[in-house]
Amino acid sequence: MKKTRKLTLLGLLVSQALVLHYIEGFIPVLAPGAKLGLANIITMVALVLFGFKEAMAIVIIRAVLGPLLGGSVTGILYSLSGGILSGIIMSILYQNFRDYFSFMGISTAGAVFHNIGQLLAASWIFNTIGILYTYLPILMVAAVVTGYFNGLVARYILGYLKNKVEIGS
Amino acid sequence: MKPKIGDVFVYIFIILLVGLSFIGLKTMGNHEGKLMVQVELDGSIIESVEMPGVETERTAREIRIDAVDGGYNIVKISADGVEIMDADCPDRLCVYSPSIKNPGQSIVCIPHKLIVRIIGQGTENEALDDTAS
Repeated sequence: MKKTRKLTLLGLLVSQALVLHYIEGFIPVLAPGAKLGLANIITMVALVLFGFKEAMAIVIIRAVLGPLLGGSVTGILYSLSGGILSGIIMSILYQNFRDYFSFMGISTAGAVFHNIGQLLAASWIFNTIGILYTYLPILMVAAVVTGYFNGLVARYILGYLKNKVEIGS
Repeated sequence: MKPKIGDVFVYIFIILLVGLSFIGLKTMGNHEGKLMVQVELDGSIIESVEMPGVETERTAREIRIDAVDGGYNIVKISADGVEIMDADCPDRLCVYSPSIKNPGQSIVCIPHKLIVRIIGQGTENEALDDTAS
């Protein structure tokens, strides 16, 4: 792929991730702290179309810019720790074990580790391990639902993109 | 759609995590003696109140905490537990958080840098708090 073309596509993915990150702030969720994690769809798409480095670049840019759009600066720490951990886990699962996992499984694992990363950051900042125990169960239930949904969306998007766009050239 | 073998591992992992955190909560809640409610604002402890026991009369008290940046949280402490009744933080996650009553549990309000936690006597948590202060 030409350098310019790749840069354009990556920029497009970053802006899509940012928009998803922003609008999901308006969607109410049942559990405190739980989010839909729609930007994870973009991470998966980038992971499949480009690879680990590019996907992580998108995650990091989104994690830094996202909280600045509609949140607080402290939010960067949480979105970075969650995003990087889940990005690494999803990359490992996709690049080494993709025969054994569906997109829904990879996405769910990503959601789980996003929550773990955020909770670890929170318990480090607030210096208490209790946060982990208190919030983990409810966030895990949320992760199963959102992870499955996001994986499904990513699968449809990738199926469409592979037919319509010659990404690999 | 049939789940693949790896997906099953993901779900097993999730169930294990949930089980572990419930075990963690249980062991943390298994302490004799008085419980203290500690309110920490921006890294320093500003309130330390004894948790009312079940036997004492149920006098619920509400404490108003003024945040550093000018917001407020209203913390309600009663024999039934501790919860945040009202706050003007943007997400209000602390208000929606369920009430807490066991040592080690905490309610956090990230925008106001507020953390309300319950600590027991001679628990691991106190050791943690000592290093923090």
